[in-house]
Amino acid sequence: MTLNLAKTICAISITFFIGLVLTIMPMPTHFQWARPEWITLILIYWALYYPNYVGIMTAFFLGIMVDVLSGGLLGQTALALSLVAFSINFVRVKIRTFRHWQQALAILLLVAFKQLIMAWLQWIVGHPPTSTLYWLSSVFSVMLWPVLYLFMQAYLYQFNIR
Amino acid sequence: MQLVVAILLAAGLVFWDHHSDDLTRFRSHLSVVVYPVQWVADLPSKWMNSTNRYWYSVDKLKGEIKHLRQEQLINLGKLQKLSALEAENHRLRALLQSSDRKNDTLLIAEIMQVDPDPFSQQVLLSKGNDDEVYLGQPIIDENGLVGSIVEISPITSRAMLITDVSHAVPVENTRNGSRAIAVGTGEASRLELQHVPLTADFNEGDLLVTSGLGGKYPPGYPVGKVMKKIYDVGAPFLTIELEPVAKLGKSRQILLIKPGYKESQS
Repeated sequence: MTLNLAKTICAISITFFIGLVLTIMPMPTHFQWARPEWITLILIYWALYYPNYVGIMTAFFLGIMVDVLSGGLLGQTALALSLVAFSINFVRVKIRTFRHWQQALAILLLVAFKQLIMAWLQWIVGHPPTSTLYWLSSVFSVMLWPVLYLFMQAYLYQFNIR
Repeated sequence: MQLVVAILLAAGLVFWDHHSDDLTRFRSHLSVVVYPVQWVADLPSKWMNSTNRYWYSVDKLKGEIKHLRQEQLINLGKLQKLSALEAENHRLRALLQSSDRKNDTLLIAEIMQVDPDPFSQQVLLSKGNDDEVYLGQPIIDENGLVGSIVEISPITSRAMLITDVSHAVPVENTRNGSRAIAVGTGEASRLELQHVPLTADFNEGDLLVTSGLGGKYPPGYPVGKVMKKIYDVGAPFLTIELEPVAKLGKSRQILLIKPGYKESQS
């Protein structure tokens, strides 16, 4: 039992580590706006299917890490991700039973929700996003969702986690 | 309950971070924790660089060496003249009995990571506290001013580029010495001059350099060229757009300046 727990936590940590690396991976300036919200996607996946392991507090600490890495306001991503993790609690059962396109739509809304909170915080601070391209990363994130989903299934199978 | 705690904590942090600099130390501790992530993210470009070098042909290397030698020769030639000019400047300043300008010292650092956050224009450098980097230290590349250090951890430091919205640098026009303040716009290739009176003398193509006023940046480093000047009689100020001369998005190596007057202080 404890071995299983340790294994699961290990598996989750690895995905988050990869997510953080992808978040700060250098990208050409022109595609800067198209960077998918890796961390948000991975968090949504775990919070959807493994709520016992990943919850609001995980989201919070993950957000702090992202903020330190990205040099933004400390706590802004933490706030956004906690709210996302919280809102998943209400839609978990529904999303799991959704058809694929419905699920994609739900994910789009969740990622956009995260971006909205970030934009809103930036607006309070006084530097709102200057272009509508900002919302593009939600769209790109959703396009990645199926890939991420399949990858995670295979990954969990490898780790033998149920 | 968890949500309330998380939100209160996060909101508190955001507020605190926005209104004061107390969290800088906390951040620098945390950035040691996340260093592995940065290290891994930097690996691909490191590999790319080394494999690129590996596949260089001998001819290409020879060509590059020749080119660099020539460049070195030209630079040395220019330097000869510069040292004479510098000596002359010293004498003239002594004659005028104004204080002497000390030479700035330079330290090379590598850009490890460009900020993924679209709201801010920052880069992560491979030199930190251990290399005597200090807060507010100006950085340049081979063409001009790049920005200044805003956060330090023992092994890395974070620099804010001059194009960041919360960055401003006092500049002067090399053509006539008129002064202004250049602020970032958040776009990678545009700066703006703030509060320039309608009658001020700025033309398209003018080169603006740091004026040294404010004490943060040493004087004389190129900042930008005037790209566009909009004269609107109804507006209170001129709108002047600059194009930074430093290759902000391109160079991987940058120089940290230690101004001469800092050296004499410590």
